[in-house]
Amino acid sequence: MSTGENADRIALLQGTLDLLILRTLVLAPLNGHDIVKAIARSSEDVLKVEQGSLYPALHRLIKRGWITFEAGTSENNRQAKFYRLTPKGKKQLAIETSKWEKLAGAVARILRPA
Amino acid sequence: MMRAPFSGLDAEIRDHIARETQDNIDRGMAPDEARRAAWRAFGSVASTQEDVRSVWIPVRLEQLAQDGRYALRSVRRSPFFSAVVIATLAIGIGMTTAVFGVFNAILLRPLAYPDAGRLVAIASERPDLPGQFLANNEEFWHWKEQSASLDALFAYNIYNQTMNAGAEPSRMQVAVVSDDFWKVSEPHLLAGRLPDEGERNVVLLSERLYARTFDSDPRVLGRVVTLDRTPVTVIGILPDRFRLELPIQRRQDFRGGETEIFRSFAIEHPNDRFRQLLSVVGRVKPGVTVDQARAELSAVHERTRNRQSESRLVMLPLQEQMVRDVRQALNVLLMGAALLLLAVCTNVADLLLARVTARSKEMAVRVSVGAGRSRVLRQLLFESVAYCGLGGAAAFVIARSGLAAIIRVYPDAAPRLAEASLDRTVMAVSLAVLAAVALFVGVMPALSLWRANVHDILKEGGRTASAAPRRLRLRRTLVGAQLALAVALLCGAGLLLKSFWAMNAHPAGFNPEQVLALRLNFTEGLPGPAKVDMADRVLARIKALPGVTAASVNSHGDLLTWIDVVGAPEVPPGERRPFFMNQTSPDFAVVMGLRTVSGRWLADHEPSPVVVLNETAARMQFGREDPIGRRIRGAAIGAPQVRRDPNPAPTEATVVGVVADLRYTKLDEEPLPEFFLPYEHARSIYRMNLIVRTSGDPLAVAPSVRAALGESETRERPFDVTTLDAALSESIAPRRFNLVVLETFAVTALLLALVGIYAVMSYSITQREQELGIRAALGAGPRQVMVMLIRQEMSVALAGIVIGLVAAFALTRAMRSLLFAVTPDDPLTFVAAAGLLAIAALLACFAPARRGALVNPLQALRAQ
Repeated sequence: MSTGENADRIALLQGTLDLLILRTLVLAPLNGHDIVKAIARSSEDVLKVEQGSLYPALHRLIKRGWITFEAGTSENNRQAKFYRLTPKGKKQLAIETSKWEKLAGAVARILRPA
Repeated sequence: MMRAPFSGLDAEIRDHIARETQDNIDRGMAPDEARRAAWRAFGSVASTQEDVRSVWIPVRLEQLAQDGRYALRSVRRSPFFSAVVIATLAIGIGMTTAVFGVFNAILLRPLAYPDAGRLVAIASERPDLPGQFLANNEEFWHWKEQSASLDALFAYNIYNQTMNAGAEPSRMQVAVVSDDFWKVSEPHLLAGRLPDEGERNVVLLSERLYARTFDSDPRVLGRVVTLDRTPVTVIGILPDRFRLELPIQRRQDFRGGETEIFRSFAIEHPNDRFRQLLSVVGRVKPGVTVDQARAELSAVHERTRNRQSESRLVMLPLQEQMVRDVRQALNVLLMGAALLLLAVCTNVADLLLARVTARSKEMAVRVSVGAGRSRVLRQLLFESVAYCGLGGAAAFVIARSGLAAIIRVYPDAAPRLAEASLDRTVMAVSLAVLAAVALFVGVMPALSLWRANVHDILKEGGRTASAAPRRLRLRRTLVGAQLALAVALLCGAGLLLKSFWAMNAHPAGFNPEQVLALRLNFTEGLPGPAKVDMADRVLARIKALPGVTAASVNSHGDLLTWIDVVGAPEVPPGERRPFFMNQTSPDFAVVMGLRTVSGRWLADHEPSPVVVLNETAARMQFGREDPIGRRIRGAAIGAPQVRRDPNPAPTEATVVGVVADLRYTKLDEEPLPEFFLPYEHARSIYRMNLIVRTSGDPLAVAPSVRAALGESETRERPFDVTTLDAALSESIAPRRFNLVVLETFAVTALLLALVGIYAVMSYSITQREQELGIRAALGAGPRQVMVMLIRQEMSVALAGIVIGLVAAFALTRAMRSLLFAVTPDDPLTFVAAAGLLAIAALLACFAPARRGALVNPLQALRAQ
């Protein structure tokens, strides 16, 4: 996802980014820039999304019907596009979250055999 | 919904960057630095845009659109080349489509009648009247009454009759049909009603006639008009789309055209006086096959026919009978069109191949920057699709105008031809052909590029690319193929030309030049003797005109009657042989150039009835015996009747001579048995043809002949005024049609082949410049080089020609029935075709070879 300087950044798979976006939108609709900031903040700066790659991910989610968008005004009275979770997306978030937890648990068990 | 996320993307990205910039400023960066950092953090905007786009538009589709645009661009880039390719494709596909349109209209499209598959044409074939697909009224009634496998049977005939509806009399084509015709055709009338069973002397008019002559006035229903002076009542109007789709016997007096009047018709029950000759159509019962019906009806015919008539029942599906004569011709034409199409394909493939060579460097570059070999090939295919698409559109225009021209110029060349159009079937086939052509011409250049080594092409600058030898071989093969196709077409066309020549030059037994022919109806209801007087007067007046050498009347081909030989065993009425009776005058022999075989011709004044037989009649009636001096007897012979006598007593006449057979209409028909009788000894005169031999141009004398007729108080105006020559030419119109179409194909193929040879030769010379330069440097003289080049190129050409001859030999067999006095493997034609092409190929080679011979060695070696 990102190249070069921030070697600390952990590379994210495409599907994972989708999951993070869904989670970020649970609380409130956000615009693209704010989603990036939210993910960085929530992960305590470990995950910094390369900003350009956000948009294809958002469109993929729109295509699948998990999020939708609407025009609105942001805090500083600017016209912006806000992305919102759909009911279908909410359901999908639950499914993807449990899949991820299973995956993470399995990998953890392999890496640190009890 | 799909458009919206897309279109706002640019604004959204700008907004995103603006926010990030603002955040950076808030963090303490300078505005410029903030902006730059924001852009950097975003990453590649272009790839973001592309990625977003590819979420919505599948990549493949995008690429295809790109390929399409690229293809159109390269077509536009070389306009002259593109024009040539498109024109070639348009001609080939357009011509093929037009021919297929004709083929479809005549052979493939079912007849317009409901249940047309159940309709059959029925006739009784007699060995003494060959080539006539007819039955007589006695047979008709037997079949109608006794057949169990037919649920309808009707008879019809087509005549030209004069209609008098108050204003000008006009010549109309009339179909007389018996009752069951309406049961079979089930028309939806525009107005009026169908005839009742047994109703006579009623007519139905076509919509066009209704509009033209009667101003679409519905009061015409119930009105009485006359047809050949017989009153008939108009009872109905038929819609325009109702057509008479029935086989029409070609007779000399028959002029093709639209049938606009349908008249009801009585089929006489058998009697002693005469036989009606009819065209008969039946409909088999549902569930019965044609074979079953034929077997059943043959049994009926066997039971009921006259013992000595040796006639045989013939039954064919109606459509087959209609198109029987032209089926062969159409097959041949379609084959010719296919050959032309192949020639066009190879020609265009060759052209595209040539262009690939010129662009091979460009191709190599594109492959090497990662376009992928298959992508480049796909683009080539797209180019050929683009060409074919444009060519196809132009072809549509050519096909449409070609078809219209064919119908306008040769409407009578074949039945149903006038209805040929580019309907759904034709368009579908045409599109399929177009797709196949696109594939073929696209694959050729792609093939040649397939194994090309990218590095070599780039290194050598593309001109002498490593694939060149393969490409040259491919192009040579294509040219050879074109030559073969051209030879095959030329042979076919040459055979037709030769038989056409033979038909025109054939002695035909008479001299059609300088003979004026007109038709006259003696239908005023004059008593017989008065008609004879009138004929005498008319002839005398005409013979006295300047420019007239001889004048005669005759009734050739119209009248069929019986004669018995006096002293021979009595033949029952139903089994007498019919002969064509020609009521004529002495000058007939002079006008027609008739040759007397034995005895003498008719004299100016014959005190007692005499007849002259033609060879066929003499042979049929008397076999090997000498007929001169024998007496014959017939009901049509005798003194002219004052009033129509229903039962005339047969009169005797002496046979005084035998003349050579005359062939009047189609020069390849069997001559009919005919006897000649002076008109003053004919019991009733019905219709006469007036023929006048002139010393100069026949048509120049026509006005004075008309004037002479006007003076003779005949209220009948002459019609069908023409020269005999023209009438004959018209009768072979179908052949002319075949000839013209096939010739066009052959000439086109020839031109294509020549262009191909020239192009390939030029190309190969260019490829070999280095080699030729070396040869020149080593002392080879220009002439030597030229001879070598020509020899190499001609060997391919000759190979192509030989293959073409072999193909022609195999294919021209299919043309056998179209030829006249020529065999399908006529050596003269084949040699001439091969020779013509060889010479043409030689000429095409000449200029490029000369150029090659004059290659400057220094220049050639330097241009590396």
